[in-house]
Amino acid sequence: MTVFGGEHSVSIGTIRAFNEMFDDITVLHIDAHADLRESYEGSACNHACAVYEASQTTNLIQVGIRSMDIIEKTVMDEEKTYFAHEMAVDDSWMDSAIDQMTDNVFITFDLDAFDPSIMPSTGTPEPGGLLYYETLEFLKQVFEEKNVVGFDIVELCPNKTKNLQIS
Amino acid sequence: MKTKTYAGIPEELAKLETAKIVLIPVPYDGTSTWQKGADKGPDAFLDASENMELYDIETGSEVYQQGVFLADAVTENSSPEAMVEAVHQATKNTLKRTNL
Repeated sequence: MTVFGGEHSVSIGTIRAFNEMFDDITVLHIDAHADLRESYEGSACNHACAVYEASQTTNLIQVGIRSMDIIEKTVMDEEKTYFAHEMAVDDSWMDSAIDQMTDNVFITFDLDAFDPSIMPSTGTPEPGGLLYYETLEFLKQVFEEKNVVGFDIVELCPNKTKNLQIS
Repeated sequence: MKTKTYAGIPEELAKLETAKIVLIPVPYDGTSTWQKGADKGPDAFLDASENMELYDIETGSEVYQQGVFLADAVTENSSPEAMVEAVHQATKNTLKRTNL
């Protein structure tokens, strides 16, 4: 089953449902941003809080992270976090991340995890992101080795470049 | 009126009862902090799906033959909390109905 957004706050509801329906679930969070704030701008359902609840209730593994507030360090489990600047120089992150997953895996994929050169159509782009084929290789490995119970794809923010005229 | 299906696949392959794949759109953009427009994401995704080939070279397969059900969009947007609860219920109800 796939839920597609929409901004990342939609995942709070999706992950809550999967966590209630499956035992011992891992949430694989692929994103440029840590999204670990407990509350932001007066709401715990802000898109900056997308996986705070998951960090408290599931086995959360974060991949591609390259933007966060220092306060999020108090929540983040760095043993289960794969930062983009480290992934760029050491490809052992794929096996390491999979080794830390339980059997049941839900994937929440924020499209800003991709490098803006290949995914400009997102609301909060960050340089230094994932490329297409390395991402596919990782996802194929996860699907082969784990029971992926569902996933979501969020933060697609269509840009208007198709309307540009080249003269 | 013809029912809208993912990628324009035939309606007999788009029924909840038989589909192995369920898609739930949530066109919500109530709390984003920089560039707005994520609420247009689901329509853009579905629009693009109608303009792609359905055969996948890498896997040598046509995944849509397993059936793809496109659920009604979750459109609750009165507050972030109400949207999250609506997505929670829609997801849970679908999981219970389909044994996916």
